[in-house]
Amino acid sequence: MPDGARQSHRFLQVFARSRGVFALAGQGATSAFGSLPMSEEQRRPPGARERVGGLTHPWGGSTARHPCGALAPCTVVRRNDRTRFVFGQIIGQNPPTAQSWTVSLRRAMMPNVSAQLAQMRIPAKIDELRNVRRLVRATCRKAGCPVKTTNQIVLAIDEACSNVIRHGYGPDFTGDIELEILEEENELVFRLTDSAEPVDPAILERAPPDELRAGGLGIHLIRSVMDRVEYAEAPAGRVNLLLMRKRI
Amino acid sequence: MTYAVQSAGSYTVISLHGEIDLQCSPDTRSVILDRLGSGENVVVDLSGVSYIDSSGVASLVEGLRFAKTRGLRFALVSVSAPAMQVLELARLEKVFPIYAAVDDLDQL
Repeated sequence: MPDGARQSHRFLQVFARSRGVFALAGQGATSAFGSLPMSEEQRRPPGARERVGGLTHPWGGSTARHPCGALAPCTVVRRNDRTRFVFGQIIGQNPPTAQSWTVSLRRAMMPNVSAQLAQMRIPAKIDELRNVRRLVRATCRKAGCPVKTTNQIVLAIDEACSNVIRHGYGPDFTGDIELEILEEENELVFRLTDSAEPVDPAILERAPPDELRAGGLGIHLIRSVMDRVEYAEAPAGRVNLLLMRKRI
Repeated sequence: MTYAVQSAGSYTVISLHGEIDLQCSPDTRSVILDRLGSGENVVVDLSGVSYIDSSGVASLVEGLRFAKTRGLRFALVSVSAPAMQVLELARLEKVFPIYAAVDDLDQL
């Protein structure tokens, strides 16, 4: 791995651990700051200035730009074992939240890195659906999804799990469902695996139900919400892998 | 999910509250079809619904279909934002008679 890439990755790991460190100073804040712990190796390596300078690269200098268009002066202060980002007054209508800044910053710095945001394995029982929805909702909000998008994603994942419980395992079978939520570039990726009966991928191509026939509505909702839905080769020990991708 | 049933003139109002998912949609279906089966015009108040999945929507669809076959009235009122979002995704928002409040029922 090239030295630059290794350094970048190391920084990204540090940054990933720092999620949530950034905080706005109150409602309608005029400043925000965050600080990142640095490893011993990173403290005084040759060329440290360049690498530290690289932290501001996504904004091309000392101005941070959020995807919504808001701007803020951003200064990187490196002192002892910590790197500190100091954001000035955020300029823009409806300034984004500190969490949104954090997510934006991390995405800009790690565009090709897949990060696992959440994972859960549940018994394939309908009373577990509530827990799935809770996890998906919290994860989407942390990833910076708006409320409406979050609601839609929660619905889609709930429908996918319901299908596995109702049609995959059926009332006489026992098994489990595993959900993994990843963030890749500007997408949330949902991997749903089970050990139920093999699913015919053609089910995804069915025409949407007509107005007064509810059957098949779940699949229609999943396809309406997600940008890509496909069955992929399941990992060892599992039968079905449903992959769902949503741009955020 | 919980529900309450009350009369409003010639209508029976079923108010649903909470999350309607695969676990409780059978109850939703039962209460709706029971009232329609008794020959009552049914209005479902969705103002307290924070979540509804396809099985819950299917219960409402069944109610509407049943009412049509029996010549009864079936409508939705005070549809919460999360519930309306799902109805729109399902492209059913124009299929159901939907009213802002129970007071608007005279227009039925």
